[in-house]
Amino acid sequence: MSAPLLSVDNLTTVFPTPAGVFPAVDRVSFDIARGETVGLVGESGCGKSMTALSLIRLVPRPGRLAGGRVLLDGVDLTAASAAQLRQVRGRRVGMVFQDPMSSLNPTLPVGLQIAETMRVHLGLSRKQAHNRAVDLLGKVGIPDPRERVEHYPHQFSGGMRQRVMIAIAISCDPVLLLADEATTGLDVTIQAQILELLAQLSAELGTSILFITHDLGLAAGACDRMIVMYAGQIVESGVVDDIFEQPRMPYTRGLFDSVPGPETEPGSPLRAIPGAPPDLLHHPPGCRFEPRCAHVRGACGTGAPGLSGRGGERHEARCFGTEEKGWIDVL
Amino acid sequence: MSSEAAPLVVADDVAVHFPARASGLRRGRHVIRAVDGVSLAIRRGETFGLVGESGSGKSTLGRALIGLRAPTGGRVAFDGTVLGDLDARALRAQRRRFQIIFQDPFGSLNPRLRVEDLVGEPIDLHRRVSRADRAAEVTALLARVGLPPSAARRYPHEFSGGQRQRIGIARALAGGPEFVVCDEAVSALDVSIQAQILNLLMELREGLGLTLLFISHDLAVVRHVSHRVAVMYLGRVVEVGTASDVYRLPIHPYSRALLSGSRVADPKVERTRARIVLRGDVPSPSAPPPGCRFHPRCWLYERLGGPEACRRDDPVLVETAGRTVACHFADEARASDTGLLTAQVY
Repeated sequence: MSAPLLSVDNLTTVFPTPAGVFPAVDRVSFDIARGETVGLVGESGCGKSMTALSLIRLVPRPGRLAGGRVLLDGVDLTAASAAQLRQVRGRRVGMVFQDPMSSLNPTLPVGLQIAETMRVHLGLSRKQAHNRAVDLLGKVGIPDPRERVEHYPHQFSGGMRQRVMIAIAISCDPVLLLADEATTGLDVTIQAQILELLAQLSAELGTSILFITHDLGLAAGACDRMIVMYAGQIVESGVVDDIFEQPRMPYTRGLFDSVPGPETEPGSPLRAIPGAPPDLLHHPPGCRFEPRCAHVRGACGTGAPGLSGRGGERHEARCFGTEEKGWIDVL
Repeated sequence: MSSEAAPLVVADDVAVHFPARASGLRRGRHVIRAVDGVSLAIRRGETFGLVGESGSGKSTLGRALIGLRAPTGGRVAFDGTVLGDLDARALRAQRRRFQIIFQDPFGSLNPRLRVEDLVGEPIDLHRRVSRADRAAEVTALLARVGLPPSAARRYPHEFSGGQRQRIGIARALAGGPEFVVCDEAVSALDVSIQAQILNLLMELREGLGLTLLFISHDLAVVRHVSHRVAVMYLGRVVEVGTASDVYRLPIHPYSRALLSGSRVADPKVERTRARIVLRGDVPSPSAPPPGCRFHPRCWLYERLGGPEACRRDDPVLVETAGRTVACHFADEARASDTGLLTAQVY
C-alpha cells in the first residue's frame, strides 16, 4: 500500500484558560489515503473543527499546537515555514468553513476573489482566471455565472455564498479538501448538487476529502471511512459500513440511535443519550463517556481506555467493554 | 387520533406578502410573496409536519397560523373563529390557546429574567394568580419538561442549549395552549440532545392532547414525529398526505426530488438510492415563474417534453385517494419511475 496522502500522528492542540489548560484536540492520529473521503463526526465542542484547523496550522489564539505531527505527502506541516504553509493552504489543501459571510471580502466581487486564488497559486492571467471563475460558479450550481461573477457577497444568499466558498476551495485542484460543515446550512436539493460535484472531483482528480460534520447521513452517504470524536479524542474509526453495522463504542451507537433512521418506528421514543457532553476542563478521570454510558463497569471510572483494533478493516475503538475480554457483546 | 377529528386550525387561501425595496440602483418596490395562497386544515390532536427549503414560506405560514403575522390575503380560523375578525382585545384573549417554540433557545429568552419569571410571565398575562400558586405552577411546568425545581431561581445563561430549549417549551406551555408551532425547534441542538427534546415534544403532545405544527428542514425528524405532512415550494403547498404515504411515494415532482435528496444514516441504503438532482436554484419569491412555479426545475416537465400547461396554468391542489397534489400531471408523476427507492428508506 502506498503512503497515505495525509498522516496525522498524536496531534494535540491546547487552549490556556484562567482555569487551566485544556486540550481541545487530544493526541489525535489518523490517515487519509489518496482519493479517499473521510468523515470526522461528532457533536459541538468535541474538537472536530479544531482538529481541521490544527492540520493547516490555523488554530485561533490563544490556542496552540502542543505536540504531534501532520505529514502531507511526507512534509511535516507542524514544522513547515510560513512560505511552505502558503503553498499548502488554498493550493494543495482547499478549505471550506462553515461561516461564508466572514470568509469572503465584502468589498470585492466574488469573481475576483475566486480568480485571486488561482492567479496567486497557479499563475493564471487575469483573463484565464476570470474565465475559470465563471466556469467554477456554474459548476457549483449558481445560475447565470457570467453575470453573477461580478456581484458582491451581499448580493448572494447564504447558500450561494457557501457555494462561492466551495468554488474557491476547489479552484486550484487541491489534493485535499477540508470541508467543515460545508453543506450544513444548504438546502437538501442544493446539498445534493454540491455533494455530487465533490464526488465527481474526487473521482476525476483523486482529491481526498475530509468532511467535518455532525450529520450522520452525510457520513453514511458520502464517506468511505469515518472517525468519531468525543471530548477531544477519537473514540472510534473505521470503514463506514463496519461502524454503522457494528459500532464498538457505546457513544457511536448512541449517536445512531438519536436520529430517526430507516428502521425507526415513526412516533416511537428515540433512544437519546442521557446527560450532556462533559465540561472541557474537567474530564472524567476514566473513560470520558463513562458518566453517560449505559454499559459501565468499575474499570471505566478509573482507567482511561486506549484506541485498539476491533477486527474489521482498520476498525478501532476506545472502550474497555468491547475489547477482546470485554463484557459488551453487541451494541 | 381519529382521522375524522374536526380541524382545529384552518388556512383558507392564505397569503403573506412583504413589501421590499429593490436592491442596488434599480429603484422601485416589489413584493415578496412569502406565502402565496395556502389552504390547509390541521386536525385536533395531530402533529402536522411542514417541510420545504429555505424561502419556501414555511416559517411565515407558521406565524400566520397563530396570528403573529397578519395574512395579506385569505383567512386563518382557529377552532372556528376567524382570527382576522377579532379585535385586538379578543385576539389577546385567544392567544393563550396557541403558542410557538423557536429555533434559537439563546435569542428567544430574555437573559435578564430568572426562569421563574420567564415561565411565569405567560401565566400572569392570562390569569390572575397568587404568588404561591404561580410558584407552584412554575414548578409543575418545569417538572413537566424535565427540569428540577431549583432551575426556577436561575438565569438562562446558566443552562445548556438543550435545557434552554426545555425552558422555552415550559414557557410555551404556561398559558395552557391547544396548538403549538414548533419552528425548527430542535434544529440548533446536537443530535444526542435533539433526541431528548423530540421525545419530550412527542410525550407532551400525547399527555396534554396538543396539536402541533412541526416545521423543520430535517426530513427524517419530520417523518418521525408527524402524522400528516405538507410540502411547500415557493410560497405554495404542493403536496399533502399522511407522513407514511408522502415519504413512501412522494407524487409531486418537487416532493420527490426533495425526499430523494435527504440522507439517512445507513450506508447500505444510501448506496442503493438514486437521487434526483435538480438543476438551478429556487427562484426569487418576488417573481415566481408563471404557470407552475416549479416547472423551470421540474424533471417531469422535461421528461414530458415541456407541456404548455405547466408554463401557462397555475396548478391547484387536487385530492385523489387521500393525497392532495398540485401538479397538472399528477397521474404521470405517480406512475413515473424515477429509480427512486424512497420506499426502502421510509
